[in-house]
Amino acid sequence: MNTITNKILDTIKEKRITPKPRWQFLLKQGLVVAVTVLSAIIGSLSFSVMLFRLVNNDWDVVRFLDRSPVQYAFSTLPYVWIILLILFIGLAYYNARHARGAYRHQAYWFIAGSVLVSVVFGSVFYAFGVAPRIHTFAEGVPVFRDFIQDRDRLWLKADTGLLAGEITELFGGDELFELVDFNGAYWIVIPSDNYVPPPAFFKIEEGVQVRMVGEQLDANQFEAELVMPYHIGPGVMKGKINGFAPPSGGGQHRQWFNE
Amino acid sequence: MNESGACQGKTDEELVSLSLENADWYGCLMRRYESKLARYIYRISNASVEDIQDLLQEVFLAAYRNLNDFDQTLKFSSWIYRIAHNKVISHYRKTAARADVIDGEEGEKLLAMVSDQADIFGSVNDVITGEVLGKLLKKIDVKYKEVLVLRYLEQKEYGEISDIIKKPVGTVATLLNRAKKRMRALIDEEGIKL
Repeated sequence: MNTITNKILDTIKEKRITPKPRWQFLLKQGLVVAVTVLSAIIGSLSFSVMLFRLVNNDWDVVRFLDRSPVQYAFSTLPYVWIILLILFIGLAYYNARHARGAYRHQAYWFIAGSVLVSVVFGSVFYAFGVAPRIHTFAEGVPVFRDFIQDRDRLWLKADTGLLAGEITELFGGDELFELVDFNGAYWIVIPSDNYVPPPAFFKIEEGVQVRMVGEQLDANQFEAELVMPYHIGPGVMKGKINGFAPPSGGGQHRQWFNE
Repeated sequence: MNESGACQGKTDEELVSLSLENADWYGCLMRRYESKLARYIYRISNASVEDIQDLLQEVFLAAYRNLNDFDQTLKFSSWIYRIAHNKVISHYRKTAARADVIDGEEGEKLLAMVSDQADIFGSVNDVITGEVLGKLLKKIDVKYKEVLVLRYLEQKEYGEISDIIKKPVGTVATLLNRAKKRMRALIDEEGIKL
């Protein structure tokens, strides 16, 4: 006689043990899939912002700085986004491994898949201009923003020839304008004799953010040799990319040019 | 209702569906797997008879509670062996014991299977006994011993072993290969001439 079988059947009946409902398992599987998808999305977004930061890492002005390109690269890499990318790729991998039937496939397929998804969808997000919005959002998140590389600081050194900010007014043409830097100080920007205009795709107009290499002439005058867009890439929002809101007081230099 | 006659002719999967409606049908499944699982647990563990019975009860109760989670793409046998595998592993963890006892007749049987099917030990049967093999197996990691047991004693296919231990088929093949090499190395270490 099957004593164990009978004993277990008795236990099932006495303790009124019933199979767990199917929805509990479906919910669990659904959660695994949802967390995997969510991790892949966040990983992709991290990749897109990482790409955005790398594209906008001022590689073109390294020659004006006192650092070697390698030093500069290591000191300015978007570590926060790289760490987030690795973290969420790892999370996507971990969850995917726990999906039903996942054990049938080798782990490296999941690692490769997680990386590929982040790279492909991250590139798509970047191409559709999602990255600058995420970047702007992240810079507004308390604590988190402290870990994000403060690029603006590099461009608040007018005395060393680097200045950036938002154009508040054009004074005829596009070479002479008023600009408010990221500290809220207003500057008159005039072109130098060796002035190199910005690339053709970039239009100098009120409200756009620019970065300049040149020379500080006095407390509020800057002679620009190079004028370049502060951000490039898809989805760059005019004047709002770094959440900068210029203080009131623009146009105070207009009278100089009207007189 | 669920006497042996009623169980006959029904597949495991049909019995799972019936068990979800009436627990008595679950008796059929338990009868089918009681001795197989008891033997399997014995083969991969050093558990006493009492422990094996306790483990068996845990396996059947866990399987019953999770009956709705049975993956119809698997064989029921793979699914319940997997539960047994998990229970034995957690039993090791709790007791900090090692799975290392296969000897006597079981050892002889394993030896024969390994020798016949894998042809790696050649005339090993003539040289070492099941008891010696039991001692050798004590030195083999549980992950290797388990695949040896599943493949050569439980006669499971690679795909089934994959479903039971939740590892890819390629990994199962690698584990089996390493297990055989480890056995070979142990035989050399023991100075057994083949």
